[in-house]
Amino acid sequence: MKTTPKASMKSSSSSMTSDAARDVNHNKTFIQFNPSNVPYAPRPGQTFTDFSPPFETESQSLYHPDREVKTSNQFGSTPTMNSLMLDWDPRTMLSNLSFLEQKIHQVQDIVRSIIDQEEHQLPNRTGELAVRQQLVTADLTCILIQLISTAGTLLPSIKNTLLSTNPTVVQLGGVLSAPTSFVLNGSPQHNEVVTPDITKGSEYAELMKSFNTSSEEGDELIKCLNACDGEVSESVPVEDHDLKESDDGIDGENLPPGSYEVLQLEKEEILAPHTHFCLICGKGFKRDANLRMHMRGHGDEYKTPAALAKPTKELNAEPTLIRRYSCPFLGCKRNKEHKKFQPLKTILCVKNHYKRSHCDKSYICSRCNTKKFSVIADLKTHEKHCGRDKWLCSCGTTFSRKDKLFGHVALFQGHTPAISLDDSKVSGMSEQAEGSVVMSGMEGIIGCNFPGSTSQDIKSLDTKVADDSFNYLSPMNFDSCSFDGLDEFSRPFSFLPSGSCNFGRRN
Amino acid sequence: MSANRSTELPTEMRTRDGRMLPSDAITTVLSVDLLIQILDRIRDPRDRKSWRLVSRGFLRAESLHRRELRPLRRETLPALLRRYVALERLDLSACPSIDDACLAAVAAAAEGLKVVCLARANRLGWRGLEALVAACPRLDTVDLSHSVGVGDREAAALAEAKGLREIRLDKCLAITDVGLAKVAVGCPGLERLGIKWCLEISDIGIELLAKKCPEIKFLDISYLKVTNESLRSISSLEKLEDLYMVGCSFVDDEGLQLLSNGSKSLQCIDVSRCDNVSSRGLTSLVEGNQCLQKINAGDCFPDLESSFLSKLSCVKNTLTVLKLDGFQVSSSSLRVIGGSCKNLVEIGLSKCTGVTDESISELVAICVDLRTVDLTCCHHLTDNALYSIADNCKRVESLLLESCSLITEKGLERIATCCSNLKEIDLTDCGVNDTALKFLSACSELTTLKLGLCSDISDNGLAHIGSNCGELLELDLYRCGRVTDEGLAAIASGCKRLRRLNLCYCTQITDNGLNNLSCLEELSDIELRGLARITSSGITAVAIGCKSLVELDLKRCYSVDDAGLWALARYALNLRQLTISYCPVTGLGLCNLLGSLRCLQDVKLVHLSWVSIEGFELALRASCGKLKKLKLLSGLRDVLSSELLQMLQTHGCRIRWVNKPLVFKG
Repeated sequence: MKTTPKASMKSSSSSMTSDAARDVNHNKTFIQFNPSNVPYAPRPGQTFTDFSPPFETESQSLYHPDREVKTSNQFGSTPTMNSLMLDWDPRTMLSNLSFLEQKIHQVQDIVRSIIDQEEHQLPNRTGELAVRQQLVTADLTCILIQLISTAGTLLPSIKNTLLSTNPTVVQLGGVLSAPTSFVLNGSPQHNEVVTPDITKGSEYAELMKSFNTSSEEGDELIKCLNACDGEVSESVPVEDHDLKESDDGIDGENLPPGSYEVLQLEKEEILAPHTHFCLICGKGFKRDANLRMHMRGHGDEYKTPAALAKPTKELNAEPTLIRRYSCPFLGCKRNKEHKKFQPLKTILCVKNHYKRSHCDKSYICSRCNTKKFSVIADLKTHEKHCGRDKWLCSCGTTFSRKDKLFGHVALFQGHTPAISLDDSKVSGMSEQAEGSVVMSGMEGIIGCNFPGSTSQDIKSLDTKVADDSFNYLSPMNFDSCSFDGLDEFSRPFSFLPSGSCNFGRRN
Repeated sequence: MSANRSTELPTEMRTRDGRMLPSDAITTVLSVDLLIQILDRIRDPRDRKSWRLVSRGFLRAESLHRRELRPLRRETLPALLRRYVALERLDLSACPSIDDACLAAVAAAAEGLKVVCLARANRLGWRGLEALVAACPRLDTVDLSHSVGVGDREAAALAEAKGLREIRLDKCLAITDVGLAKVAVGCPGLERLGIKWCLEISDIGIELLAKKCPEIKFLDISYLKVTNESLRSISSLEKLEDLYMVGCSFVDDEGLQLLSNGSKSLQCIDVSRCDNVSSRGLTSLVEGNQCLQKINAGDCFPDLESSFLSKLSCVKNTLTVLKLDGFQVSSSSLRVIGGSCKNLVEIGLSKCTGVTDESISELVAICVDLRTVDLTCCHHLTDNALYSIADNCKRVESLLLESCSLITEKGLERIATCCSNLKEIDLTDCGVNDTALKFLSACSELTTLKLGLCSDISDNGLAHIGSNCGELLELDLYRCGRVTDEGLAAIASGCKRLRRLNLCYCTQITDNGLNNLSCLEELSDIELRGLARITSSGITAVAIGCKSLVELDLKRCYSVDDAGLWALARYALNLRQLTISYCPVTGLGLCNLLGSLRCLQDVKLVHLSWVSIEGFELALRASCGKLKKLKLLSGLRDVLSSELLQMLQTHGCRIRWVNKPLVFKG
């Protein structure tokens, strides 16, 4: 299943009307499993206030701060959207509608031109026709998105003002399908979600109790909604939530299967240097922005502010389908066929995961000559710490940080930090000797800087040589120095620090 | 001391002057056991010396009995170690040229060593320490302070001695956390540790130390760049009694708070010069440690808050020493201190502003046990303060009054009559006169007398001192321009035990005065700066007579030439520190001096205009790398051979290059 993000976007938006039930499901789960992992608690609180006015004040006082966050996450990532929801601005609405109007006119023009061409029976223009068709689809998608986002901004404000008093809004929500329905569908989920956290305080428990009693009311509402939406709410798998929230988007999130869309990029695509391709000429780009700049060359229609604008901004205004990625490597835990499949969160994660797990490690640290990496950023991170701060314990364990070593030493009886070899200079290793060690090390590095399996043996040999020479020059060899002066008190000692040999004799 | 001697020893044993020698019969009759028992009661080193000279039997008894040794020169070590077989305490700080081989040999010869002082042994390495540790299983205390070459490797070698209980590593600059960890892991029974000035040691090392050495009682972390985290670790030391943390600028009140939450065993704390400590931290410290005995909070913060003073009552029964140098002190605060701490024995108010006669009288009215009163630079004090001190604190032993220029002989008279125990008085820049000295001479216990910048002092005053203060050890006559040879004669005849004498810029002094001084055998430090009249003959007399001479300052003695240096080279064998800047000496004399004196460590050779470059080159080469500190004109840096400079550096010599114009004064 090779689907580009763009294509999936299209499919989801186009299916919105035809396959309403599934679509609602998708949108709803997006809310439930908001990737930013906002705590769930505030959300139900909000719905609770909606259908239980007498309790409103208390729940607000408890949930207020989170609630704002939640709502902003729900209906738009920007704070302006949040304020829109609370205080509906007709001017923005008007500008949105006029934008829609413009767009529709554009599409009309394109379609008209196609019809014109058909009428004039112009040959050899099939390529151009295909381009125009693509343009039409793109524009239609854009219009749809704009429409939905406009409606989305509109809906909560209606809900806020009317929902608590007028049950017809529920029907309205049903009509408008996605955005309203998830507002209400959140409430049953709330019961299960928050209860485990009750331990926090009696106040909270009380609140929960009262909430539970009044939730029947909410259930009725949901039933009502269900009647409108068909089998929508039944299909929501809320039970198997892991309530643990984690900032680590990759491993920590436990999305229930089916609650997100899975994309699987092919190996070539992952390893490709470019990810954004021009639909007209096929040129690849690393960044979407660069692609958009490039698109200007293909015609005036790409020069409009709308075409040049960052598309994500508009997308964010609308609750997009949650999207996760699968690794194309069969048998990998990150592959969607795996039993315990754990999806990858972003395309970057996919790239790094694939390179780290399923590719050759072609970047070799030039300092230690042993560590290999497949992601260049990893190599750079390693090189920052490689060699310089090697904290060694007497037991042979090495640490990258001194405090870690000292923690280890504190923990185990009899372990001590080993004296680092740099310090042994004091004991007489001349600078010259040290320099030669460095030099031999350098040679080793130069000899093995070529990635490739055949040089492996040579490499290790070289490092060994370097190590040996180091040992040879290490101060341990000075142990053999005997104390000549042990029994000869009377004569002045000629024992001089070895570093001073050059001029010691002058005395 | 002399009283003790006469009671403990039968009169026929008094052998110092040799005239009372008992007959040979008695000396042969006494068994070694008896002799050793007698020796137990002889403490004074001079008496011991006399003892050794009695007979071979006495010498043998002394060599069997002797446990301590402080050799002054390395050359004598072999013979000394052969003679003294039962040594337990060996102080090698006077032989800084000791190296690995030498120490290994010493250790092999003295296996019973418990305490070894290797301070300033900058040529010592880990091999020597390894040999020492291997040879002396009973090793208990090792002092490596100021051995700048000592690093982690040496600490590791030292840590092999599991039984060590005290280690001093002050200013061992190369020691890092790793070295400290070695010591901490190797010596779990450590009780006293000094790591002052070991600038590489950080919180991590201290934390490990606190975990591994729970027995620590004494810890000196002065001037370390440690933070509150270290104090958190230190607070877990259950037995800590003394904590010195001078100049720990990264420690603040929070750290002291942590410390006070920890063990309650703390008795002595020194937080002087900790810039970020304020009254709040001290308050929490006093609240947390109810048995604090000594607090030194000098130069921390200027304002003394009443909250802290009122909390001093928490430690009112135990507190004996309180040092508040550099504070803004009001009269009320001193009253509160007096009211809270009745048992104070020592108070330091040096450079405190706002100290008045009234506040002092209120303090001493309650704190009658005061022995040491430091009022340096309390400019507003008058005789009234001295009256109240004299009337209340009869047991005052040390009175520091530098720059209290309003005091007169009347106040000192009262002090001298009431405080007969007075041992130390500092009257520098107080403008006192001969009459005051006459009164002060009533204090026969006086050991330290500082009269610098009191230009009214003359020979008459010194005559009083010389005739009455036989115990005087230190006399400072800096810039007392009226003092002449006669005054010196009076001092030399009366104060036989004098050790330190400062005669800088007493310009009337001539060779005759120095001849008078030459009878003072114990004189070790002499400062003779700017005495243009003294010549080499006077120096020769001092070099011959003052056998203990260790420090000599001859800067700007324009008449001292090579002959003086020859005499020093020949006789002042223990000389360690010498200043001959501006003296008209030549390369030959310098060469002879540096080549002969084996103990010389610190030499200042600025503006020796008669010494050629070759002279410097030869002389410094002749010093055989013994020198540790050298002061030279910066112009010489380029003309002296790089080999020589490198050699000096390798041997641990630090050269201070100075650049100042040649100006003849006086």
